[in-house]
Amino acid sequence: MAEKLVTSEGLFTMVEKLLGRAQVTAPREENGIAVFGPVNSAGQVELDGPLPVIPEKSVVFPQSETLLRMDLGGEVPKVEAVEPEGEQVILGVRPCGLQAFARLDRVFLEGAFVDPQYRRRRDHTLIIALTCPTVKRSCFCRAFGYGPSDGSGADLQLTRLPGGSFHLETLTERGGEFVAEMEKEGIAGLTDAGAEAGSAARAEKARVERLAERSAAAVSTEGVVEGLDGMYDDPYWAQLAERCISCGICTYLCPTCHCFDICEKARGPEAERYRCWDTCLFSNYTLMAGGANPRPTVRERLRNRLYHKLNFFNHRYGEFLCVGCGRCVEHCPTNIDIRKVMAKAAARSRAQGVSVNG
Amino acid sequence: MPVNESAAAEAEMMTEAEMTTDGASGAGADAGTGTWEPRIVAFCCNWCSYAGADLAGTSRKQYPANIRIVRVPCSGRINPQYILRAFQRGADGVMVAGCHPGDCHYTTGNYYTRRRFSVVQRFLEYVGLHPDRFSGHWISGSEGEKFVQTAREFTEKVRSLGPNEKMRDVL
Amino acid sequence: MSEAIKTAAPVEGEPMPAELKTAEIPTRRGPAPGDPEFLGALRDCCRSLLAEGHVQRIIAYRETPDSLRPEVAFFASPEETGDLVWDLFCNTNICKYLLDYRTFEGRIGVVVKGCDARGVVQLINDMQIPRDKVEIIGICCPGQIDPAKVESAAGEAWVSRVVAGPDSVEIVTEEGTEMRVPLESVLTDRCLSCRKPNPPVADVVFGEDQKGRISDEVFEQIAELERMSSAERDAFWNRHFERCIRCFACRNVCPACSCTKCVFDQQEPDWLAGERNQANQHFFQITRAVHVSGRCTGCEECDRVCPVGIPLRLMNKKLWKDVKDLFDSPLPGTKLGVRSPLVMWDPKDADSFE
Repeated sequence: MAEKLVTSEGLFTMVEKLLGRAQVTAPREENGIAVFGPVNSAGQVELDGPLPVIPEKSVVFPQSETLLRMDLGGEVPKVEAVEPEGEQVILGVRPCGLQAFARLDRVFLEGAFVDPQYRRRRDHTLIIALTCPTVKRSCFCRAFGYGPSDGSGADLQLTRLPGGSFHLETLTERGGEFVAEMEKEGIAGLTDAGAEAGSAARAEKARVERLAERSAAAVSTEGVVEGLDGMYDDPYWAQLAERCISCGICTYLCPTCHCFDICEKARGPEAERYRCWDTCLFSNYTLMAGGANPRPTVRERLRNRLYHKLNFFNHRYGEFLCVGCGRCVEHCPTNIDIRKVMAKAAARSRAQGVSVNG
Repeated sequence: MPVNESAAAEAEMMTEAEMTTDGASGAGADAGTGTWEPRIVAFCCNWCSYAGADLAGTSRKQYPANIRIVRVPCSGRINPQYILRAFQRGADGVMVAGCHPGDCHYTTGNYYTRRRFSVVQRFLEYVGLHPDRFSGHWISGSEGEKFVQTAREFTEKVRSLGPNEKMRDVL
Repeated sequence: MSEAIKTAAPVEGEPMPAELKTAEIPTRRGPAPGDPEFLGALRDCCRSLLAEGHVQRIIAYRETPDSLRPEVAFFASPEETGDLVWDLFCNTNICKYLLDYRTFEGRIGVVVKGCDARGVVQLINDMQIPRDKVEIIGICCPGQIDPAKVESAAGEAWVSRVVAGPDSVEIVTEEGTEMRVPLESVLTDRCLSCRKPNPPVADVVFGEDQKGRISDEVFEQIAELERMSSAERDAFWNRHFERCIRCFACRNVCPACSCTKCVFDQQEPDWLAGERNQANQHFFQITRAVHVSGRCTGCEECDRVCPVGIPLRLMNKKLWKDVKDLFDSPLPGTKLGVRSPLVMWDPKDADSFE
């Protein structure tokens, strides 16, 4: 589709224009940490920083959101569903974030029940992806069959060119409409990309793909699902759990973790029902009324998370729930590394002689 | 009766669970008038400060109806979480009151209170709560007049600050 | 009884348990980190402790393929200690794992830096584990390196290994290129202002006492905050609290957080609801900080692990500063047998009540 060239000033103006009509979420810096969060001015957008700690999912699946409002004061209780409002733009989504959206779509939109909140947010979110400016050691996207320049799933894709400008690629009709609208606004610095810019973008993409190549050699998904099939009661989980502190970093920073809790709060006659993120690493997650807990220790909880990422989801949807963004690897306080779990499972499958090809 | 009725109703000993449900949000001083009145929660120890408030009432001395008393067995029983919860559920000011140092019914309870709240008070200020929204007082069972004075002064201070937004979680 | 509270009336309740009175054991010394003999001596020490049955478990670190991120490891037999490692990337504070050994029958060895050792002492003082159940293998810490800082110094290249010198470090990349950067530029933030790098209590110590880095930066920041108006402080903390994702890592790593049932996990009453709003964010942050005040050892592990960079140290150190000013007690974890100043009292205490 169409290819454009936009200067960083041009992009700045585009974001300023967007701010008036949509909630813009983009990478920004907070106390030295890169996070995805709402921005109020284009100056806050920080596209050259590292992979943001807070994942993109928070835009379509916020940490907490109101579902119902209730007034129980009258003779007949009033109950009103709360719909998310407005348009959203998420700028600077990395390829791993795009992959994560695709996984979340399957969970929330496939099958008999379509999640209305998620549907509404997803439909009203324009996704502008960003080719990764660099590849960290913790990145292992290539293990999952895509790379740091893969824009599939986005409406538009930005690639930072060596000169400082951005190559803007239209990937969907909606992305095209957006560009047309911006052109109509007469954004200075937004022009058609010539052959030169196009080839510069392709060169930049090839460069980051080469950087990612380094991780491809180290991490592989081959045999992971099969290996885990036979490892459920392995002593390995107890060993791993010994050093897990059972915090929620890996799940809350994970771009695909999507478990939630539904709660109510009442203040006098008024009440609200909301949902908020929850994590299988917390003991309360599986705690039942009466005090029984089917996952009583960290061993069961950590095992559940890793199986969900690398095995259960695969059996149900035919793909991994891990997208290799590396956030859990980088931020785990005790350096638990999912790549080592994958290697362990792969080794087990080789030892068992399970045929990987079926 | 000069003693505010809702304050008296709330003065019954509450369990921890009751305190955390819906204590502070019931309609009170501002019901029907349309003008804003501060809501103030006062945690009073059973033996001194609550008795002081009682004495104010039986002496027919009036104190602002903005004060809602939560009676606790000892000021040493007041968990800092109660203060935060009161602010969450709509309090504009919170007061902690106990026996004078040396006079604790349990001998030393208020010495712990003193240490704890010296630290907590400074900390609440540090995280951005206005210093006039939280205060601690020593009020004995014979100091009905001091209770009235304290209640008036605190209410006026909080009134001049306007509604508290920090930590507030009301629908 | 604490020396610092000489004027205090006797504290009510049970007398101090015998294990808290244990005199400080004279320590044996080993070579310092940086000495070529160091790692061998540390491994030998751990091996013989296990082999001779002095300890049944050692909590330390193990090498991983990513040399910037060694993992916490639990050694049960002398044979396993071959890949035990201690270098400048052993950031994780391991003292909290002692709580998993409360019912363990044997003794446990812990390989600790100055900050971790204070955590161990605090757990002993909080009566979470008896002194005689722990073998403290202390290391006078020259300062730890932040892997993220090294990685950002190396740019696009992947770091293969880091060779630390006394003032600078050499970063060697996978491609074989080398670069030298000042040590201070890659040290963790907490190490840049560490005043107590030496284990206050230990059975074995490696290295000679380190000076630490005397920096008042944190206290200057606190003073700056104190000078602000209430509204400015409110805005400052709101901005930080808003970012909290409530992963509870700060609580889970904290040696002062030793409750068997944390208030944040309680469901009846549900002190902390899951909803993410200003009220709950404040409740969590303030309650956590207040709960550890008087027992926070200043290890700043919470600050290190916070994935969203909330300056928890500015709360913990503020509380510590006030506790110290008001009650003149030693830094928690620096002395055996000291109780938290907030569970003691003195009739002459300062009075902020009216």
